[in-house]
Amino acid sequence: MNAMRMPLALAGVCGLLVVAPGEITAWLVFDRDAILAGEAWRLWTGHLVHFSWQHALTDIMVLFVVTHILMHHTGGRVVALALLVGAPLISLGLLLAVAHLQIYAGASGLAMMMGVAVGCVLWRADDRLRGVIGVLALVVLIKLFMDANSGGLGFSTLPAGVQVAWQAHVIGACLGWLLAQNLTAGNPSNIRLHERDVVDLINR
Amino acid sequence: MRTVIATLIAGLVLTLAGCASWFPQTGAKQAGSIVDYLYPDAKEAPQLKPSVTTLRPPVRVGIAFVPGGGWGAGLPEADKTKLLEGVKAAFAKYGFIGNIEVIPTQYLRPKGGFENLDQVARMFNVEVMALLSYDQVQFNDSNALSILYWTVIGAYIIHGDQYDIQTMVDASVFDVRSRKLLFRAPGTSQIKGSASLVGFSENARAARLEGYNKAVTELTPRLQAELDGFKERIKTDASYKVENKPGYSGGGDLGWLSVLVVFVLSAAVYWARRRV
Repeated sequence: MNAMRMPLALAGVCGLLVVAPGEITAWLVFDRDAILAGEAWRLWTGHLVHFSWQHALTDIMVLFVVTHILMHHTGGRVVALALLVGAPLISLGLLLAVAHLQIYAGASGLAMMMGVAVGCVLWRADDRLRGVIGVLALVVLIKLFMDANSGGLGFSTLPAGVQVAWQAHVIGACLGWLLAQNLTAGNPSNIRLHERDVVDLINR
Repeated sequence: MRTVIATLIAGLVLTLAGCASWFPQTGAKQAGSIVDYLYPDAKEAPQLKPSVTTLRPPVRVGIAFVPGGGWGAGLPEADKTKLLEGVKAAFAKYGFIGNIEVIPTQYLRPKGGFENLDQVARMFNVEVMALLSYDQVQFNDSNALSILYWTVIGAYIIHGDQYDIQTMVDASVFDVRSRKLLFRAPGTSQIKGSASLVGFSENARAARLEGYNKAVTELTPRLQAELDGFKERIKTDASYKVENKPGYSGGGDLGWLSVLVVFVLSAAVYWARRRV
């Protein structure tokens, strides 16, 4: 149950902000001008607000699952630290590397970071999963390529006129890989899946 | 004696005539027509060249009442601004709508046409204009109680005059550059009431404002529904194109495919651990 708390809290906050008044989300969203004017909290909070409930739903589902899996193998403290450090790093990356990005909202950068970390951890933990992880990684790479080059594969949940900020996913993936390197450094065998945890996850 | 009686009758007739002249018998009409404003002196239907309308979210929108004619030329500017602020608030939640500027009617020239609209759009830096045209008709009638106005005090306390105010407000949303009507929505209201002769003017004025308020309140959800419909329409209508502005992008969106990916991953993990 402990491993559920943080994913549930994250999902709850994102869900609440979907139904929050526009004035509140406008105060939290990643807004380049506002951040440069000193509103630094947006580096974190921009990842918690979304453009629509469909957008929020997909991001929350992915973030919930990957955070939950990672928490079983690393503990809540590491995941909390990764989220706290990863969120502003992704935002700063967008701020520096994507000059035209004025507004950004969504938890997908964080979800990508946690997802890649989970993939790397599982890759090292269990040889039998490598085939599936390889195929899924390929699917994610194709999606990333399509998002970057032709506006996506048609699975987007963003409202009309809002572009997929695929750069956030690339930055998140790089951070996830770094996170996994740190987690498995020295003794990869420390990272092991627990059947009970996974059964618990699926049942929930 | 005859002279006295004749003088009294003449006095009475003059007094009654005076009363009758105070009384607003016919009613009034206020109108601001979008056609008069955009197509002044048009003899033929406007010809629109087929073109692709490009929208670049977040779209900057201006809202204004079209300049009107007739008695009083519509609402006072302060009331117009208050009504438009209400409409503005209803559209602030849409991510693809950027700044919404409430534009005072003084900036719009009567019969100014699209040339005037271009000037105003440049001045306020907006790309799309929502123009509110209006038509309000007030009918005044007396009821049976008005006979008591003869008592003079009755003119102060008896509600012997009635008004029936019918209002129609119509919002037409134009893309300024292509001059194309994107969508429109109407709102209507009817206000009925009565007042004493002395209080009629004040009560009717308040009722006229209430008529506008109700019509705009009815208009706002219809305009939102039209906007939602328009959002869907532009996805399939080749005459519209949505582009991203430089300096604006958007969302970290993983999409439904990624949901599928994590669930496949979860299933694989589950399967692997069951076979340890």
